[in-house]
Amino acid sequence: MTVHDVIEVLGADIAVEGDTTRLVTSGYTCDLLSEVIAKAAPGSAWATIQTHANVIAVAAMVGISIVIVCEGRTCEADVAEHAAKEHLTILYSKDSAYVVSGKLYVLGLR
Amino acid sequence: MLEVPGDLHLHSCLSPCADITMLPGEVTERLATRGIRVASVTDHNAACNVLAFQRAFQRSNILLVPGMEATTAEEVHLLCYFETMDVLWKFSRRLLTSYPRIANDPERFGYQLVCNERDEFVGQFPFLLSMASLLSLEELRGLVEQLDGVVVPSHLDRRYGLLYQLGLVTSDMEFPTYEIAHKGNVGRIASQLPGHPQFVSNSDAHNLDSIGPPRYFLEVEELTVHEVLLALRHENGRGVKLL
Repeated sequence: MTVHDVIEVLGADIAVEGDTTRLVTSGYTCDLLSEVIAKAAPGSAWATIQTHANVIAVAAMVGISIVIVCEGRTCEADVAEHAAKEHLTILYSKDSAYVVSGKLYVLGLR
Repeated sequence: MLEVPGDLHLHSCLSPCADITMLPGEVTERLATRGIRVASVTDHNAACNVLAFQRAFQRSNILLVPGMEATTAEEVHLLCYFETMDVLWKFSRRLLTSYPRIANDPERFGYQLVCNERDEFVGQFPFLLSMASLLSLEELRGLVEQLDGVVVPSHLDRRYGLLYQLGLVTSDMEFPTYEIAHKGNVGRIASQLPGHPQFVSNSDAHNLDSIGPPRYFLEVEELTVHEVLLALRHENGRGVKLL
């Protein structure tokens, strides 16, 4: 499945549209960025409530395919700029990280 | 240059996680026994007890650096130091306007006790102080620096430390000084940071027995708060030296 498919299923707002042809092969839900660096798999869809600019740095480092910022939160001002540079897609979802994770799980991401 | 043993991270009975014996007289006695000459009471997100400690420290010739351990929206703990009590209070009031007001349940989270310099309890702080403020790391740092204060990120090598919460420190957010919980971690932590920062290692004491012997010296021209802040900024030849 691709980033495009994830966008369609979640129906969340697109904050930054990056490369939507990237493959999504796994999912990860966490707000502690050190844990994401250590545990998340490349190609993951990552659900978080963390909105700091380091979300983009960590996503790029791990090879995250798409970030879903949950609970109706929005990122700080410089985040969109950083994400665009990495061609990374960022969604803003009103759902909790639990609900977003559930939707991704049902979609077949493990 | 003077080499002054410091401990710039102590919690008083105001912090919900600290022991209720963390009172001015008791803490002063321990610090004096350990040979600490400059210290800071850095409670979580409030500064109600700092003046009582300053008065108690004065009696034992220990210099108090006005400070607080503030929690950013990302749940990063930052040690914030200021030149005077007035500026600390100004900061404290500003922080409170960006702070979620959740009533504290002392039985669950711990007592948040306000004390005087005679080690008497005079009140309780109403809102839970272990919450994160609504200010981001950059906003909080900006606020402290606007008040001519200095930010030292707390315990980089453990939970609620900058590296733990945010994974990495980019070159546009580096600090002159960081705190580490364990001196043995300094090499590992330094290799993950941009630039050439210096390190302090404080007791972060939540109970009297955790107040230990000095782990670093502050290198200053004279023993004043201004000089200590210069050392934490690593400016004008002032600095810190781990032991």
